Amino acid sequence: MPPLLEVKNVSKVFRSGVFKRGDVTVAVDDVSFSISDEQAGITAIAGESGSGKTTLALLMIGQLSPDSGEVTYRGSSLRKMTRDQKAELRREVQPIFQDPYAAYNPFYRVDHVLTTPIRNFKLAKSKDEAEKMVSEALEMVGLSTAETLGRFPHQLSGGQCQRIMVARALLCRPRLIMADEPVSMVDASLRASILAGLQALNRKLGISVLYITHDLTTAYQLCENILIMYAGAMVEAGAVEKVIRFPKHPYTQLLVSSIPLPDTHKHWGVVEADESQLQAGRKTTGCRFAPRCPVAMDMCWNTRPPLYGSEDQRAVACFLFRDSPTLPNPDVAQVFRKQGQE
Amino acid sequence: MAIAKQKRLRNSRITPSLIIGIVVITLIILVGLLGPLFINPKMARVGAVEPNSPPSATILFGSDSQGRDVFTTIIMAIPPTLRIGIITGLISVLLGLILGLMAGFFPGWPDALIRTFSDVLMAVPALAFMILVVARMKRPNLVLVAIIVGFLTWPGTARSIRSLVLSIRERSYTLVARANGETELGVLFREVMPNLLPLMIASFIGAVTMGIYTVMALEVLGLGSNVIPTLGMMIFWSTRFAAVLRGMWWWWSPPIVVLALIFLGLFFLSRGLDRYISPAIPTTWSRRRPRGVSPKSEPATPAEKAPSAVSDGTAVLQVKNLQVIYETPAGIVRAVDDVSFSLQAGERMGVIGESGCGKTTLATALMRLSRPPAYITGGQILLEGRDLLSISEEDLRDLRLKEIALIPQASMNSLNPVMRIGPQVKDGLKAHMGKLSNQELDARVAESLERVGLRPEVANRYPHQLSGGMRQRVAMAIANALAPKVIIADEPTSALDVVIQKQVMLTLKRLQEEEGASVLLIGHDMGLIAQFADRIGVLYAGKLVEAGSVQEVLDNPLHPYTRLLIDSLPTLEGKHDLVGIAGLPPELLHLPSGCAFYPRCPFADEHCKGEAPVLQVPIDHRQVSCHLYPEHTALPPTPAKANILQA
Repeated sequence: MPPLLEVKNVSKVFRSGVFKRGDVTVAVDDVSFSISDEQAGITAIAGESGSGKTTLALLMIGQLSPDSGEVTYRGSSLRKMTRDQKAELRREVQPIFQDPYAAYNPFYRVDHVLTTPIRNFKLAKSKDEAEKMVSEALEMVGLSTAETLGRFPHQLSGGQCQRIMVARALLCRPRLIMADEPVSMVDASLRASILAGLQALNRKLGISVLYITHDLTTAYQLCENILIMYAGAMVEAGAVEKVIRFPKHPYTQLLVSSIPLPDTHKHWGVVEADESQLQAGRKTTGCRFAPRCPVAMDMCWNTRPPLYGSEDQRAVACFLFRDSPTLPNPDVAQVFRKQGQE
Repeated sequence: MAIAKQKRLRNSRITPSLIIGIVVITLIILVGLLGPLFINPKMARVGAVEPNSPPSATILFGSDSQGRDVFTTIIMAIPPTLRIGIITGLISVLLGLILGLMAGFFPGWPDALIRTFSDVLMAVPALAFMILVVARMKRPNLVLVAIIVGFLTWPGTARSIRSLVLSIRERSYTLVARANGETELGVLFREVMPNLLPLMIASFIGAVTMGIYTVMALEVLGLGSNVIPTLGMMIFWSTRFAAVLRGMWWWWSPPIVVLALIFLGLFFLSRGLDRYISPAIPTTWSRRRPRGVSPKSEPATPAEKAPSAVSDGTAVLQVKNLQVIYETPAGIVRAVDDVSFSLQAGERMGVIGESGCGKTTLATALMRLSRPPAYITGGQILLEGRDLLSISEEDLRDLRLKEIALIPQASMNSLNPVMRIGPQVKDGLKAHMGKLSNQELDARVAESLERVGLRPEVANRYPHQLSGGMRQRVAMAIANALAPKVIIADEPTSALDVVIQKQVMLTLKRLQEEEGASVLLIGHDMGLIAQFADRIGVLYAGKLVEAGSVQEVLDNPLHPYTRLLIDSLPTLEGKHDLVGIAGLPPELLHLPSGCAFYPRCPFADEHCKGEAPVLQVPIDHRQVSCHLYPEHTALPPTPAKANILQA
């Protein structure tokens, strides 16, 4: 059975300037992975701003088309899909965005985003059934109809708005929810409830979740597997316990050591990083992280490191692990931890 | 309560502007439509009545020097004037909408073509052009004039619509609509168009005004039609026959009054409709001072009540019972309410709070930079014993930057984009050490930049040539240039990536240690404060609810809010269930009675609902504002089946 969504060696380049002759930004660089329809898991795509994680998500839902490579949905290419298949993809893969307020048209009450999918996807036979669906979806994310319906988005808190978005996604009966930084603009005390809502959808309804974030602590708590991206390329992937607790790639190590933990016993350290060894300005045609890498070798500057299967449930794109075998095919999902697996 | 609030918000969409606008315009249209049924058009002809008569019982508004009845003429003049306006408005808005949408949706050559064409049209001076056109007509045709004015004014509408469409297409709600199964046409009609409505109405009203105005201007210049009486023609006739000089006010004033009413009515209508259609636009903030609150009124609680647990002699900054309010149309908001704390020499203190709890208000108030609608209404800010709130503005300017400096929120975006970095750092230095020569100042700038880990060459760069982290370092260099005793950092790294954030914070820490300054770090990230600060204050709904050393507060929180907040933070210590804090953060405008946290608090009882707790010192070096103390000496275990009180 083909995976729900698969990206095969996709790249996306943005060009700026008049006649697109200006700066070239490689947003996504030769990335391959897949989301299974049978194993509903929660997977994180993590990286800093500009790492290409949002671009990758937009490529996967067909809001952007790749410059090279292919995106397939249930085995058929996004480029060659029929109208019906496209409509089905729209329904089955539901996005949730970062800014909880920008996701609402200020012209309408919040009811608008909940009734539109029911009307467009013909999900309910009667008005009563539609109302019941809406209230069930709201309950699923911990909201009541009384505190939400009939309001304008600006009358609700960011946390409520974001949870209504999760309810909206749920109404479409999706197979995959693609949540792009869903809690980064929400207060700390409300973040957990939104993430718990996503977790409930995964556990109770078997919906896969792709959690796109820069925050490794929430990724660690929420997800089973994680992909770490740097400058458009995948640098490390695998089971979240391995990648975050014991990072192998120098970039992942830098990222994990920079997390400000709310714990005075786990100190950042007091020394500022010694960057004198780094060749920050040097151009690289090999590993994109080389200019910031403390252990960059000569080969890193002109050869792209492939993904090495350094151990079970982990793939890492770094020449430090060149003794390990490369992955048999580029899809990193093969190293992911499956449900029930230790 | 929630329903009442909702009702009020909905009602507030109908503003006085809207009512005035609708009433005036409806009256004018009614007079224009129905008026002609009640008058005798013959009275508007030359010689119909006695010329030059002032208003009387028989000739209601008097008559002009040609013997026309002014009242009848006015009634007859309104419909053609309105017609001209409406024709111009419709043509302008329809053309503007169609071409604006095309330019917004087809970014290639259609956009370029439409924009070039509209640029050319906008360069045409409408009135001068119309004078040329009308002067060449054998018989002035006002409808034709209105049509041409409509054709001349669409570019403004088209441009606004184009840029609005471009910005709406970027918003995520159009993506949400597609995910909800909307087609592209559905997105256009249901998501984009409603948001264009306010702009289209404003443009329509603008074009109506423009049409009436242009035609009137032409008529006043004598380029009107003598056959159709319009308001412009009436003004023309009255000036032509020197009505003002002859004191015939009843002749020249009615058309001007009616025109003024039309313009005013349209103005109010446009304003009111804008507010009605976009419910999210806040009403204007009142600048009026509320009675009984003066900028320096008595603190709500006497100063003695401030706990003095940590206010020994070495405090650099002592804040006592600070109160900051916001005046909003809906009432007074206490954004900082009776906050007291002190900052020791060389200490790093963090203040944590959720959005809307008064963090930034506090930071701004500590610099005495609060601007209306925010007012500091009480308390003291003692910088080495000197009260910043009672010294003169001049002395304060002298202290800022030299003694106390602020790294504002998103400070990396606060740099002037058209100025090089060097002069921006130098600015602050110059104000305080004007005696130094330019070379000496340059050396100081280079030194400040080096201290924050930047190369001195950065002084010659422009902000856009630097990365976010580098700009943040520049903001730190500016704040630190004069080695102030106190640095207030308001979310200094909120827009930076985690790796850069760590580097910037470590630099700030090193600076602070080298200079022996005290830093107050204000933020929402408990992790960042835990890594940076020695002591922490927890702000909830404008009040300080807990304070103590970071380690003690994290290991052993006293306030229920602090514990729940810490428990809701994700860690890397094994996986556990994600638990948030029940309920919603308080709205400062609708604070619950008693303790602001009680609606979310698992420990709350009727006492908490009735009486607000005050800050106390249940254990040494710890402060907490909660009714559980002094009865307890530590926070009891959270009740398993929490019985949360309803507000």
